[in-house]
Amino acid sequence: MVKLGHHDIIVFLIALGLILIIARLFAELFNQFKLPSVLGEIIAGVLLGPSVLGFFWPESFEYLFPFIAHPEFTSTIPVQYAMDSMINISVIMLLFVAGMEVQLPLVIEQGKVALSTTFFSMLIPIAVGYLGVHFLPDLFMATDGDVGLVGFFIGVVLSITALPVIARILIDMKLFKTRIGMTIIASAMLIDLLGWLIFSVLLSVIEGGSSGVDLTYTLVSIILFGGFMLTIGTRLIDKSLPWVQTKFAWPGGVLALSFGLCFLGAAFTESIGIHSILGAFIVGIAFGESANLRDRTREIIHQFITNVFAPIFFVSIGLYVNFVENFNFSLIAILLVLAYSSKILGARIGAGLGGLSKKDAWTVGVSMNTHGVLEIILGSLAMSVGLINEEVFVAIVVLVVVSIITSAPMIKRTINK
Amino acid sequence: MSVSLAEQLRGRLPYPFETIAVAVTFSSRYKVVIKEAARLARIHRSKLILIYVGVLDEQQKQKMTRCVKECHIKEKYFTIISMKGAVVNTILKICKQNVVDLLVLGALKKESVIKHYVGSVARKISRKAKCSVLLMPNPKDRPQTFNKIAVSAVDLPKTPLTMTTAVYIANQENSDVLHVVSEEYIPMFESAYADCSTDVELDNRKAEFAEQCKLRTRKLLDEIPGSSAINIKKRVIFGKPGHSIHVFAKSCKPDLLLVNSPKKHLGLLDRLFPHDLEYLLEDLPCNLLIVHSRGF
Repeated sequence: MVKLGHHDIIVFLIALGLILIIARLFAELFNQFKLPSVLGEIIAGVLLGPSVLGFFWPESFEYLFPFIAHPEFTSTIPVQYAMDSMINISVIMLLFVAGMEVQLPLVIEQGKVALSTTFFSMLIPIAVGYLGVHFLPDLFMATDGDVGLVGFFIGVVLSITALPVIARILIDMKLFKTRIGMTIIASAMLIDLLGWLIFSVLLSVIEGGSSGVDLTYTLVSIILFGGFMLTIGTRLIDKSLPWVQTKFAWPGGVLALSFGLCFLGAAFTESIGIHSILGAFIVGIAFGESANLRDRTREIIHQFITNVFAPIFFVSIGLYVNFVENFNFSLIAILLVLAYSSKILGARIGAGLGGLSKKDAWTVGVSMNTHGVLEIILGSLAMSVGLINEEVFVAIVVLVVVSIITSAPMIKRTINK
Repeated sequence: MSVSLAEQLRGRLPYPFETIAVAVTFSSRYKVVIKEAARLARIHRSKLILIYVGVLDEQQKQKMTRCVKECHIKEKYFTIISMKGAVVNTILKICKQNVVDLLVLGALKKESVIKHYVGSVARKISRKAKCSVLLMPNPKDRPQTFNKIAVSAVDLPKTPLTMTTAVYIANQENSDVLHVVSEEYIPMFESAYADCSTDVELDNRKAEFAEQCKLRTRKLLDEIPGSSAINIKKRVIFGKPGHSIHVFAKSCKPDLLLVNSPKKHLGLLDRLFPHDLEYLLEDLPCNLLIVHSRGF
C-alpha cells in the first residue's frame, strides 16, 4: 500500500495551503476589476506553475511542487496520488454545484423558445466544431483515427454556455427576469444537461475500449439512473430535506447528506462505465430541484465548493500545464472565430424561430456566447484521456477567459442598439 | 347582432362574479359545498348554477333545491343543470356556455401519490378552466366570511388582475386584512455571487430586490380602486413561486388565498417537475382561488 510519508505530508500540505491562499488573493484582486474569481485562480496557477515560477525560479518551483517538477521521482508519487484525488474530488464537487443550478421546471416553463434556442445553439456549434477539426486536423492535433471524436468534442465545448457567469451579468443588468433573460437561463440550463450527457458518453466511448464495458449497457443504465434520480430521487430528496433540516444538526446534516449522495451518484456512474462527473451532476440536479432546500443551505454549499474546491482545480490547471510553451496563437484565433460565430448565430437563429423579435434574438445570441468553468473542466478531462493535447487545452482556457471578459460589454452594446 | 360565447368571455374581467357555479357530486360533503357557494352568491348578488354530471332524477333534484333554499336563495336566482358526459369536460362546457365567472369545487387537501399524477377531477378542472376556480378543502356547514385573505403578487403580467380581484373580494367580504405577498425568486443567485461577494454585499443585494418588489406592489395597489379601504399588509418572501406562498399560507393560515391561473396548460411534466400552481395543488393549504384573467 502506498502511504504518504512524513515529508510527503509536509509537501502536500504546503502545496494545498499555498494554492488556497494565493488563489484567494488573486480572486479578490480580479473581483476588484469586476472579473470572476476563476480568472484570478487560473492566473494564480499559471504564476505558480511551470509557465512563470518554474521558468524564472526553477529551484523555488521544485522546492514547493516537487511532485510536478519531478514526477518521475518515486518518492513523490504518493503526493501525486493525493493531489490527483483532491483534484478529482474538486471536479466532482464542481459538477455537483453545476447540477444544482439546473432547474428543469424553468426549462419546461419557457417551452418552445428555450427548446428552439437550445437546439440551434448546440447544433450549429457542434457542426462548426466538427467541420473545423475535419478541415484543420493538424491545427487541432487530431490524428486520422480520432478526427471525428475530437471534432465532436470541440463542438460540445463551443456549444456550452456558462450559467453562473451569464446569470450574474443578467442580474446586474436587470435583465434576468425579462423574457430574454429567462430564455437565456433556461436554454443554458438545458445545454448544460445535454452537453454533459453527450460528453460523458463521448468519454465512455473513448475509455470503452480499455475498460471493456458494453456501451449499450452503459447507455441503458444511465437513462435508468437519470430517469430515477430526476423523478423519484428528486421527490425523495425533497420530502426528506425538511426532516433533515429540522432534526439533524444544521448545516452539518444537510451538507453530509448532499455530499454523501453526490459521491454515491458519482461512484454509480463510474461503475457503469460513465465518468463519475455525470453522477455528481445528476444528483446535483435532483438536490437543487428541491424547493425545500433552504436558501442559506444552498448558499453554504456554493460557498464551500466555490471557495475551497474550485481553487484547487483551477490553480492545478496552471500548475500542470505550461501556458507559455503551449500557447498556439493561430489555434486560439481559429477557435475564437469558430466559437463566437457559431454560438452567436446558432442561438440567434433558435431564439428567432422560437418567437423572439430580431433584436431580442440577437441579444440572446450574444449572451449565449459566454463560456466558463465547465468548458475548462471538459477540456481537462478530455486532456486526461488523451483526446486533446495541451495546446488545444490552453486554447480552450483562453477562449473562456476572452469570452468572460467580452460578454458583458457585447450584451450591453446589443441591447443599446 | 348576437355576441358569440368566445367574444363574451374574451376580455371579461374576473370580477364581479355575476354567475357562480358549483359542481355537485352527492358525496358526503355536497351540502356544505353548496352552502359555501350559496354564501358567495348572496354576498356577490350572483346567479347560482348547480352543475351535475349525469342524469338527475327528481329526488336528487329536490335534494339540491332544498339545500339551496335552506341558504335563503330564492328559486329564481338559481338553476340546476345536468348533462351526461365526461366529468371534467362536461363541467367546463357548462361553465363556458353559461359564462360562469366563478366555479366552486370541494377538493381534498392532499391526494394519494398516484391520484396526484393522474389528476383528480377538481385538480384537472383547476388546470384547464377558463374561468376562476375556488377549491375548498374544508367547506363548513356554517360558512364564514373570508376575514383573512392573502394574494400572491408574483411579478407576472396576470398579477394586477389577481390583485384587483383580491381587493374586490376583500371589500365585499369586509375582510380584516389582506396580505399582499410578493414572491421573489432569482434562480442562480447563490452561484452567481458565491465566489465574489461578502455577506453584507449579498444581503444588500437581496434587500435591493425586496425593495424593488415592495415598490412594484405599492405602485400596483395605488392603481387599484378600493384598496385604500382595506387593511393591507405587504410582504416579500424569497423562494420558488408557488412553493414560497404555500409555505406562507401554511404559517399565516388565511381563509382564502388568491393566485394567478397557470400561464399555460399544465400537464404531467409539470407535475413531475412541479412549479407555481402545482405546489399548491399538491397540498391545498387553505381555500384557494385561482383567478383566470380571460385574455387580459
